[in-house]
Amino acid sequence: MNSHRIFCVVGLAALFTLTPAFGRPILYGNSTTFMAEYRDGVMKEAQLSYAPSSRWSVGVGHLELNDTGPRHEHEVNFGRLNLLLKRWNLESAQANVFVWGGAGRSSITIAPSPTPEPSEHDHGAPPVPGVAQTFEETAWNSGGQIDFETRRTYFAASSDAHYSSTFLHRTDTLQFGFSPYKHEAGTLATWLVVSASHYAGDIDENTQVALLLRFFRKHVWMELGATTEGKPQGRIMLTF
Amino acid sequence: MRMTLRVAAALLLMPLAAQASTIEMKVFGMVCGYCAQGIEKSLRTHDATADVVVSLENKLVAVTTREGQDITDDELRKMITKAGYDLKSISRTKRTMSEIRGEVLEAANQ
Repeated sequence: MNSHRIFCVVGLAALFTLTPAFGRPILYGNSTTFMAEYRDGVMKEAQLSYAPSSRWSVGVGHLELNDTGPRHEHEVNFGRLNLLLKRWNLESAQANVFVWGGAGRSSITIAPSPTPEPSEHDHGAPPVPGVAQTFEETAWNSGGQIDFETRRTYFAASSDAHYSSTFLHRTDTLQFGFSPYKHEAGTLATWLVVSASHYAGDIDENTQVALLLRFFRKHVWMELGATTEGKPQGRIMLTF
Repeated sequence: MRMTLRVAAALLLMPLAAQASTIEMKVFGMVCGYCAQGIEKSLRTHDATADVVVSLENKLVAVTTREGQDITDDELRKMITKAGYDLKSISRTKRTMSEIRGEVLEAANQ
């Protein structure tokens, strides 16, 4: 059970890592995107992706967790493929259907304890005083998203599943965004986004709501906000 | 006599064709700055493209070509479609890019 908890945390981290940027996993064709994100008490990560066309993109990323227990260091390195299955272009709106999938390597390192103590997670071997323990496993990811956007409103619904031989985690997310004005190409865009995520699977089911302020102009995109529990979040993205 | 008239008509129309160097396209599905960037990047891959202006408000994509060069309607349609958007109409006008940029700026300030 304890090992399930550990791997579920890694799965949750992978979910954060793979959250589509700008609400979408593909921005536009022949573009390269760098993204860095920080969530207080949860994680920090970086991603680099390339979209050869408007229909698909590939990316790699590195994630570090800091909320999974004392002396624990969790990292995930991953690769991912995103596909745009269908797009509807309306006169002043756009709707999309995306699917994605990928694989990664999760690594959990537990620093040596200063004094002998029983392991708080069952990784199959008892901790040895003075010796760090590292556990690695392949993890998989698959999911999909539908969205609808105008220049003033944005709605998206997505489902994401992360799994390995020892854990399964699924999240369902609803996002609603509102822009106080219609931005023009090359001018500053401002959005207020409400995001609600329901987590299910091998961890305790729960729902989190976050309020986010999003800005972007030309090649720079940034998002700042906090959960309803008051924990700050931030993300910056550069596209070129 | 008929041949003379045809030559005269062609000579009269030539200056008009030479001036009509701005291509204006009505495009559906553009809702954000990234849409504009994607379309502009796609159009600039064509050697004949000199300048591009995108207006989200007017659903307009305007292109000027380098002197003596042109982009066919088929090529334009392919580039817009490849960028992920729907091209609804193409017209070749005499408006300058400065005029179009002014119009876009005016729409953005409203």
